[in-house]
Amino acid sequence: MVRLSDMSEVEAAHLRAKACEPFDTRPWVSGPTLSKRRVAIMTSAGLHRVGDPPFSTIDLSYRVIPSLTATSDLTMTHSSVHFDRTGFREDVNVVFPLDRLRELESLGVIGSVADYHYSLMGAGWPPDAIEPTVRELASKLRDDAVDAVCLAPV
Amino acid sequence: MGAASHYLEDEGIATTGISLVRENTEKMKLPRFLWVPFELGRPFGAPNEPDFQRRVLRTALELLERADGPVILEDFPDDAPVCEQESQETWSCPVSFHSTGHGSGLVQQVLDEINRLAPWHEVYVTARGSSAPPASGMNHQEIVRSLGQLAEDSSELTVPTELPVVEWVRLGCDDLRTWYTEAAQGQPGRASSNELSDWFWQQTALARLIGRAAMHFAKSDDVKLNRFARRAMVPRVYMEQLMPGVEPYV
Repeated sequence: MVRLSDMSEVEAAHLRAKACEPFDTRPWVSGPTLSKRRVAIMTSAGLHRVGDPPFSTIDLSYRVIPSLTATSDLTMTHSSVHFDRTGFREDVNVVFPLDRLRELESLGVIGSVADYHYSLMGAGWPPDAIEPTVRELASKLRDDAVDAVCLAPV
Repeated sequence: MGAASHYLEDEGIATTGISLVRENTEKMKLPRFLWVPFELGRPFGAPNEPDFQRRVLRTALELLERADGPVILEDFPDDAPVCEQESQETWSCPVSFHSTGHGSGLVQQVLDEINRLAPWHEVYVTARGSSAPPASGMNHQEIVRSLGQLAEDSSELTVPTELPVVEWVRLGCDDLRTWYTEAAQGQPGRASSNELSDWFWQQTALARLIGRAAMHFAKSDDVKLNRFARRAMVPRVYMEQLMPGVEPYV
């Protein structure tokens, strides 16, 4: 159980100091019922396939994770040392729940799993710096007929 | 991921997501987020708990059915499950480093430490079937000796990689830290993430070597190196011990 009030003061102060200004607009997209949605996962955990180039310390690029990737073929090169990685090493799904998403597809909870998922490295840049990357990914998500994205931090 | 949700919705794609720091998500007033009371690094709760992970994911996805936007921030009601073995036992590393390399330099102490942990790493690999792939392209001895040169402020830094210094230091330290943690997990008992973190950063010679290299960077006039040392080499909670007198970069 971790809440800001449970953290060390130095850690909580760092998280409180992060830039979190609201945007000027509040876009909101509706859509079909969940059982008809095609869902992709976007993570900021700095994940990629073992053979892909690692993320650099401050990095606004992305890595593609094809849906057929075995979760055991994923590694993490996030630049932060301030979060637990042992859970990820035991079970990738605690960070990137691709196996769980496939199960929800089998159960009929979602319509389908996207063909491609995406990974960012969420450290060292202000929130608006990621805009060009995300707008580029939006185009790729539309090409994959994705109409719902689950965002997973780390 | 808050900014990503805003830009994706602006592009016409619906989003939902996990929030680990409720206060920050609340300030940003974002479309759909599920706050979870889990440890940083574990947004879906706990490893090897598929039913729980699926419930977290499904709860986040079900926010897509809501029509009361444009700002939704829900709280997940349950804490992450704790492994029974973790909750009942206090783990301690059976490899004692106190007598290791007495009187020798820090680099030699780290190399001795690696030798003493190696059999436990083999146990880990035998039990798990694999080890995390290294990312730095350097072997352990090369990383340790190069860090040692940095820590000693050596003018004859020779590093067997073409990566920029920040990148080989970061990836090299990650490779070693991961290997150490795996070796610790090969030992009897089951350590919690906090126990593993305290063990590594408070008890190992490698953590002291990383701290010394970070102190070297923190003295640098190079803004990138200085920030890197104060932000990404030693967790903030251990900086006072390993980098005395250096303030974390905010």
